[in-house]
Amino acid sequence: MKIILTFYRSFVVASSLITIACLTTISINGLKVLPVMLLFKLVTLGIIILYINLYKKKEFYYYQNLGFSKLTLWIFTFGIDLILFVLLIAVVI
Amino acid sequence: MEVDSVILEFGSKRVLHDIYVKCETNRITGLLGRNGTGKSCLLNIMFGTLKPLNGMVRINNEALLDSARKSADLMYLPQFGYIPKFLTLKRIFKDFKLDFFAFTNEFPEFKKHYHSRIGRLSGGERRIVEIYLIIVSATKFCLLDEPFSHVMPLHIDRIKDLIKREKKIKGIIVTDHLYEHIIDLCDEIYVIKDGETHLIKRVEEIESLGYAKITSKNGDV
Repeated sequence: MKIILTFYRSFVVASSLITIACLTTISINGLKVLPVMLLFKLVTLGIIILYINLYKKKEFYYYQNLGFSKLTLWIFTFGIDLILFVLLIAVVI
Repeated sequence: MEVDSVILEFGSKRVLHDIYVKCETNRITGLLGRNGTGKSCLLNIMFGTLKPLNGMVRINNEALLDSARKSADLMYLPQFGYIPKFLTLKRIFKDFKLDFFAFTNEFPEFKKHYHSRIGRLSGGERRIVEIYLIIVSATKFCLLDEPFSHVMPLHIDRIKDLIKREKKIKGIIVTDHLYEHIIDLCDEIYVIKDGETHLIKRVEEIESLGYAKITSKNGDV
């Protein structure tokens, strides 16, 4: 888990800023913007994945040498990020 | 470990097509070849990070069918820095389950860096850490891509000693353009030329295969 969180650290700031922007928009405009915000969150996560795969691809060898494939890293961090996002929405609404 | 039947193409260019490399525990296998002949690609295929059109990697006659590799089977030193710069040496050695103080016995100049982020070290110092992690970690096979390049001569000797020590319990495949070290270190050497591997029997063949002019050493590999 520690290794997964280390990988998550490489994009947690960008992802958190996006989450905060979405939560702020939802708290101001209500649940009617929820589908758009969910879509926005997914699209930006996709952009983050592309960015990391392109600009931090060398670091994947660190994790792969520790036995964590690229797919494993993305499944877990994507999952953690989305679960956090949904939990925070529940808190806001 | 064996790799064979590899076919690798980039667009219409066929890079590798008649490949056979074998590496055994307690052996050091060298890979030589001109730039662009596919040495790093071949190591990436072994490590599972590059998918060829065709090819088979086997460990103890067991085929590794998917791209996932267990760290207990294989570790790979790429020719570039691979450690996230924000990690401290303390954390890195913990991740790789290695004793930092055993490392400083080999490289005492790193004692002061225990709590330093690796990004704070010089390029040469970073490379030493990267090389050490892969050579010394608990794994059956090490793939080393240019471990001697950009490393000062004194450290090259220490790295060679480490490789010689670790080969007793693992198989090591190494490639580097500092071919004199490869000749000195390896039990067998393959030269990649025109997409094919040539297992050489005599050092002079390195020259006849068009890789380098051998002036300093002649004889059997």
